[in-house]
Amino acid sequence: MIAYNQTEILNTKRVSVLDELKEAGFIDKAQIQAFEQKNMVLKTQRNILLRLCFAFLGMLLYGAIISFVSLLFMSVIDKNFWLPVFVFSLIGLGITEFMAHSKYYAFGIDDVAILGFQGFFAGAIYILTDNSLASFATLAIIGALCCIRYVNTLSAIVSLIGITGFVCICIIDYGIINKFGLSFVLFALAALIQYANYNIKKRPDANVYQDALWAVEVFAWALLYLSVNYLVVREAASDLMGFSPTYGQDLPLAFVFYALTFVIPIAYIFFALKWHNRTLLWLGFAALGFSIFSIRFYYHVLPPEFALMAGGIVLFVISYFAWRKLRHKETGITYEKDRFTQSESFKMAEALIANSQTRIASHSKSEMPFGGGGFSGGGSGSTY
Amino acid sequence: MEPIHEQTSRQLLDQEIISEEQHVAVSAYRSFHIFSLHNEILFLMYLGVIVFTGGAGILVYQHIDTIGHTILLLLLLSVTIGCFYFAFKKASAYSNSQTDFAHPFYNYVVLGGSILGGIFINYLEIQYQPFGNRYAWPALLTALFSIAAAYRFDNRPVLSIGITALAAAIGITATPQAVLEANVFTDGFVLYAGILLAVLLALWEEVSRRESIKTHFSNLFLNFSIHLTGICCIVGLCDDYWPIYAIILAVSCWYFWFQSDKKGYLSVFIFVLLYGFIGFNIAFVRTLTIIDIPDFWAPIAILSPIYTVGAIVLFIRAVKQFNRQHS
Repeated sequence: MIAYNQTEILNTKRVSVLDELKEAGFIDKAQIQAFEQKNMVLKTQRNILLRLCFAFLGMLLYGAIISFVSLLFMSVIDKNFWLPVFVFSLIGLGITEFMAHSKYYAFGIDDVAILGFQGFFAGAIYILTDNSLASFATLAIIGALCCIRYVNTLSAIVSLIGITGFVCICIIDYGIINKFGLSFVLFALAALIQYANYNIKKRPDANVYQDALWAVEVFAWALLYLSVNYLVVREAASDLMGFSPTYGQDLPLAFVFYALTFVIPIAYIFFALKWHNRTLLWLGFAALGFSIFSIRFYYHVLPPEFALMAGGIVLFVISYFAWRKLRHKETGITYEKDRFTQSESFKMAEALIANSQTRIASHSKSEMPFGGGGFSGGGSGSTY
Repeated sequence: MEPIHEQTSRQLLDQEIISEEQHVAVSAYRSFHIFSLHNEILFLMYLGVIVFTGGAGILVYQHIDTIGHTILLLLLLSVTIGCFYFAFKKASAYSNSQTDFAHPFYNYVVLGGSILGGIFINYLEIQYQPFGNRYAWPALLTALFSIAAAYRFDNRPVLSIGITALAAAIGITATPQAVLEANVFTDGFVLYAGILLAVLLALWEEVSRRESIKTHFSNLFLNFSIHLTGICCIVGLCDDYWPIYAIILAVSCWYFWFQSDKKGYLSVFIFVLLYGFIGFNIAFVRTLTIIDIPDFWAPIAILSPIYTVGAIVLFIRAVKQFNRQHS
C-alpha cells in the first residue's frame, strides 16, 4: 500500500536526527555522509523555505498542465463540468505517483500534487452529487488513503477536516441530534482522535508516520479546545440557532464554557511541562491568548491600550521570574540552551516580527484618518 | 515504539558510523531529560515588549486630547531614557564582534527603548513640526537612532526596525504585510530610490565584512537588499522603461547569487532563484508582446508544462550544487 520503501523513509527521517546530532556537536559531517552512503535515502527538502519554493513551482506546473488540458477539452467542459475537474484530480494523482516512483518525498512539488488531487476529487464529487456530506466523506477517506500511501502529513489534516466537516454537516443539516450538542460531539470527537493517535503511536511501525501523527495530535488538541471555547460556541449558537442573548441572559451551560475556556489552556501548559511536550506548550500559550481575547470580545474590562500595556508588563514579569528560577538548572526543565534546540532561526524570526510590528508610514501616503503616520500605531497630528 | 532518535543512535553504532564513546555521550546527554524553555522565555519577554509598546502607541493616539501633548512626550522620553540608562549600565564595552548582555532581558529593554524612542520622534514631528513638515526627516532620525542602538547593543530586531525606518524615509513601507498587500510603493520615483537603498545596504554589508564590523548582521542586510531590489525591479518590469529594470535585476541576481554562494546564505540563494525566475518570465512575455506575432501564443500555451518541468529541473540542480558546497 505504501508508495515508498519503509526503510528508505525511516533512513530519510534518521538523516534529520543526524543533522540534529551534528548541530549539537556530537558527530561530524563525514559521519552523516557515511550514513547516506551505507543506507538508501529519499530525495527530500528539509528546509521549509526550499520546500515552499518547490511548492510554488509545483503549482505553476500543475496550473500549466491544467491550462493545456482545458484548451484541449474546452468543448466538453460546457456540458459535463465534473469531468474536467475529475481529470484535473487524476493529473494530480499522476504527478504524485511519478514523484513517489522517482523517490521524491516531502519535496514541495508532491505536496501540491497530493493536495490538488484531493481537492479536485472532492470538488468533482460535489459537482456530481450536489451534496456537501458526500464531499466531506470523500475528503475524509481520500485524505486518509493518501496519508497512508504517500506518508503525507498534509493529507492527515485533510482527512481530519473531512471527518470534522462530516460530523458538523450530520448535525447542522441533517439534525441527527440537537444543534446545541455540536460542541460536545466535537469535544468527544477530538478526544477520540487523540485516543486513537495515542494507540497508533505505540505500534512498532509508527515511526514511518511520525510527522503525520504529530499533525493529528496538534489538530486534536486544537479541536478539543476550540469546540468548547466560549466565543466559538456563542458565535456558532448565534449563526446556527439564531441565539441572540438579551441583557442578563447567557448561553445554556455558559459556566461550563467559561470554565473550559480557561481550564483547557492552563491544563495544556501544565501537562506540556510535565510531559516535556513542546508542541502542547505552544498550543497552550496560543489557546490562553485566544481565551483572553474571547472574554474581552464580550466584556471590556479595560480599554485596549491599558489592557495591552498591562498584558505586556505581566508577560515581561512572568518571563523574568521564570528566567530567574530556571537559569543554571542542568537537568529537567531549564532556561539553559538545549544542544538539540536551535535558536538562530528564532533570532531571525524576532527581527522579522519587530519589522512587521512597527508601522512607520512612508512619507507620501497616510492610512490614518487622524493625521496619520506613526510608530507602533502611535503618533498623531492635525496637519499630517 | 522505540523513539526514532534511539533507533538512529543504535543503527549508527551497529554500522560502526559512530564510536562507542560517541554513543555513550549522546545517551548520557539524553538521560538528563533536558526540556529547555530558553526560546519560550525569550519569546514571552519579546512579546511583553511588543504588546506594551503597541499599547503605548494606541494610548498616545487615543488620548492625545485628554492627557496633553507635553505630558505624553515627557512620559515617552523618560521611559526611553530609563530603558537606555539600564541598557548602558549593564552593557559591556562596544565591540566590532558579537556581544551580548549577561542577562537576556536587557536585549528586550533595548528593543522597548528603541520602539518608544521612535514613537517619541514621530509624535514630536507630527505635533510640533521641528523639521517643518518634512516627513522624511523623523523617519530618518528614527532610522539613525535605531541603527546606532542596534550596533551599540548588538540587537538584530532593532537593526531591522532601523532599516525599515530608512526605507520609510525614502517612501517605501518595507514590512512583510506591505509586501503581501502589494502596498510597498507610493509613487514611481520610489523605485529608483528603493534600488539605490538596496545598493547602499549591499555596499555597507561588503564594507562591514571587510572591516569585520558586526559581520553577523550580514545576512539581515543582504536579505533586505535582495527583497528591495527584487520587488522594485519586478514592479519596474511592468512599467514603460522595463528593459532598464530587467538589466538591473539580472545584474543584482548575479551579485546576490555570488554572495549567497560565497557565504552559504540559503535564504538569499532561494530568493535569487525566485526573483530571477519571476523577472525572466515577465521580461519574456513583454518581449513577445513587442514582437507581436499572434501565432506565438498557442505554442507557448502548449509548451508551458515542458517549460515548467525544465525550470524545476534547473532549480533542483542549482539547489543540489548549493547544498553540496555548503552542507
